Amino acid sequence: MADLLRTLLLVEAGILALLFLVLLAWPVVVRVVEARRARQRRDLLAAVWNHRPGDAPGEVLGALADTSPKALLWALEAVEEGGLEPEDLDLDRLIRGTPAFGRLERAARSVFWWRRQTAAQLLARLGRPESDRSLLVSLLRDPHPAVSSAALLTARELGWPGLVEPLLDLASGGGPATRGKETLLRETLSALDADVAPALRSRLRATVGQPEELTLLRIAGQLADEELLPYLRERLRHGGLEVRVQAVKTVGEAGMAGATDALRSALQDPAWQVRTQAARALGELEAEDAAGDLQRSLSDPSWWVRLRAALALRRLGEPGHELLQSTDPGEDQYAADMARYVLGLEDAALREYAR
Amino acid sequence: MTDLLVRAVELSNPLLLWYFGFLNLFYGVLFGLSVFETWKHWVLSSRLHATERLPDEAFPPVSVIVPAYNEEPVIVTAVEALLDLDYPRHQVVAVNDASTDGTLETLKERFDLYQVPPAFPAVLDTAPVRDYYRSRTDPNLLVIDKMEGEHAGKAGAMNVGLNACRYPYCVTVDADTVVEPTALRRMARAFLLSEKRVVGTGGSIRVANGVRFDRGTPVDASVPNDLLAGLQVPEYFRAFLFGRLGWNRLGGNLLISGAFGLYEKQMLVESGGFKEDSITEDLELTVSMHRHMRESGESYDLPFVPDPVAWTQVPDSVSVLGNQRERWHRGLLASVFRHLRMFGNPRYGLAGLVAFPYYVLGEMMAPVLEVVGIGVIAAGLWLDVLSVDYALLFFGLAYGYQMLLTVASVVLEQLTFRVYQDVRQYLKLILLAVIEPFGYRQLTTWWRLKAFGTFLRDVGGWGEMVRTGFEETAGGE
Repeated sequence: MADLLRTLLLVEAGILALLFLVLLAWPVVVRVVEARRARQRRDLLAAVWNHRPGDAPGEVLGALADTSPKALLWALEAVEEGGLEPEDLDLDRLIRGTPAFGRLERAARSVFWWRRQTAAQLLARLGRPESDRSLLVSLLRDPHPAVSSAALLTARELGWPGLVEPLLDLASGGGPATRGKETLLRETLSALDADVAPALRSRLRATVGQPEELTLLRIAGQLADEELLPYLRERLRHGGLEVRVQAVKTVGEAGMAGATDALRSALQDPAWQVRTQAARALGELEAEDAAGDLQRSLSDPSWWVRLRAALALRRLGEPGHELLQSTDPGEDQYAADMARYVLGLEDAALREYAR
Repeated sequence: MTDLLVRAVELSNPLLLWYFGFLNLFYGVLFGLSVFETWKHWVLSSRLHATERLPDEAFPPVSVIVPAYNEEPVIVTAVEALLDLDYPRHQVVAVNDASTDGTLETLKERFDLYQVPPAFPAVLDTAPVRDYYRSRTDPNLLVIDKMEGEHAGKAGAMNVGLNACRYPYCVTVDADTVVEPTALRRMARAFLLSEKRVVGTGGSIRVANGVRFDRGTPVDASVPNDLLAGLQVPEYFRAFLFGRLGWNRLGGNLLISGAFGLYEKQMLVESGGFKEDSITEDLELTVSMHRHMRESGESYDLPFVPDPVAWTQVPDSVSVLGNQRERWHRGLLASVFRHLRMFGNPRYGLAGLVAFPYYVLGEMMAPVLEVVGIGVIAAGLWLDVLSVDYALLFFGLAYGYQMLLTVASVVLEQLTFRVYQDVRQYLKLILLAVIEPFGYRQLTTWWRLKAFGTFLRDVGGWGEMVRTGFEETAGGE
């Protein structure tokens, strides 16, 4: 037993010695690496600043482009920091057809997610719709959220109309699984506004009751497309609570003509979550013709509906104020309490509620 | 009698060796996993493309709850730092937990508070509230003043704050803790990248003693000059970088620190809020959340993210530190007995099969078994059953391994996030990691042992933490 303990103690001492060596050597390694990077960066920036449109690409830039996709990305970022557009540098000639671009394609299929992420980032600067669409689509479908998010950011920057269908495909099957990806997907699609609306209408027509509805409805909220209203009205009568809540939010966000009527009817929904969102949306639209409905909602059994109805009335200005002040504690104590609370809020607090 | 003792030593020595060997082997596995996790988070945090450029809407809005009991010297600094957090949408809910000092008056004066009617839906039963205040200067601040004489501990104050939270996620922060401006945004990475329902997430806590801050950002991260506070620096590294990150991989992080933790509000309410009868409400809550989610059968995630950092003042006196550690261990005992049915129960997945047994055998029983181990070796020496050579080898191996884990945690930190970059601080940190197993560890073992006594006698409370204020330690924040 003592021999075993002795051997273990020796192993332990060896590992400790190794750790101390790492601890002592690490600051030196960090300094050397940082100094090398700073030197490369300085040389690169000098090359960029001395570059003139039509000149042959600088040797330093060419050398960096030839090293790795990450270095290439870094070089391109420095080009932009230097105040030049990548087109000025004739990047097609510089990078396409060189080993560097081949490495980018390999990086997009690498087993390491960070290399695929770099490829997605590079495409934002080098991508061409006719040749790189399928590469970008494969990155959009990447299982690692950091890669697919980077690809979504690239898609947003590129804004290729040919990406609408693949992006809407991503919304199918319940939509992207992470909050970040879903937000990016919506933003990317809203940047392609004109091309998205017809495709979205046809998908909404085909997906009643399907899991992807929620994501499609959220996307619809960012497009102020009048022709979407009939589809949204249909969802306001849907059996699923989540779908109705999202439909109300979407109607409020899109704010198309006829939205107020749809929202007023949503104030009668049996679910308090739907009524709360409807009151909130009416406030955001400053719908004066809904003042009477909002006043009735001050007596809603749900605290949240009463709060949102009172805040919506406060946003209507003088007519809303009068309705709030006219609540009678003798008639409905809850409504009067809420009206008193909202009337007592200062403007800064109201702005905070409106966020 | 001597024969009986000899027999007892001969029997218990191999058992203790097995326990020691198995536990340390498990520590080794945990460390290996934490290396992988630290590296993953470091790569994620250094490749900001995916998270920093996301639209603000991608970040869930959060309410930050700060319970404050007699925190007059630190409360304004803490609330200012929280209001200044770089986060798209957050509110700060400060709860004055029936303080007897000028906590409320200080807040009223600094933030120009005005009273609002009590219009918040009460989802949890709590002690009565006297007044609610909003701020004219900072609209996203809400101050709640509990009724005089209703001080019932941190958990009660947090439940009061929870009732008034308007956002779906809540962050709990101690008033003596400074949260780095980007910490919340980094913490939200768990929500942006996880494909499961994230019911909570925790960030790293570091020692604030001796550190100067500029609006929540440490301007010169230094290791405290005070030995006792300094020894807690490598200890915190070990606890957060090595311990909790390793558990991420094993799917069973049983503790999200209440000094800086983010929770889903619905989950908190479903679990009954913070347990007012618990003295370590964060541990109790995290275990309850695991239990609740496992029993409901829903897939979930409760990860620890290492790079969001909050800095907290640690005790620099032996008596206060002793009280704190005794209380932590007493809370662990209470939680273990409350949730004992999770022990080895496959219904609770890895949390029940691995994490809970580890907390019982590796954490709760560790001080007892450590003392028993020392006793057995001492008895073995006295009875001539064990040789001096063997005893020295055993202690060398045991305390050497402790040192190895601490030094390895420091290495992990230095290879990735590198908080302490100044050479002097760096060397001080290495020295503290080396001396930590000698003296300090035995003290903590003693405090943890005392917890068994107070737990069995059902006595003890929170103890007093003396606040010195960040202004004094921070030098001009």
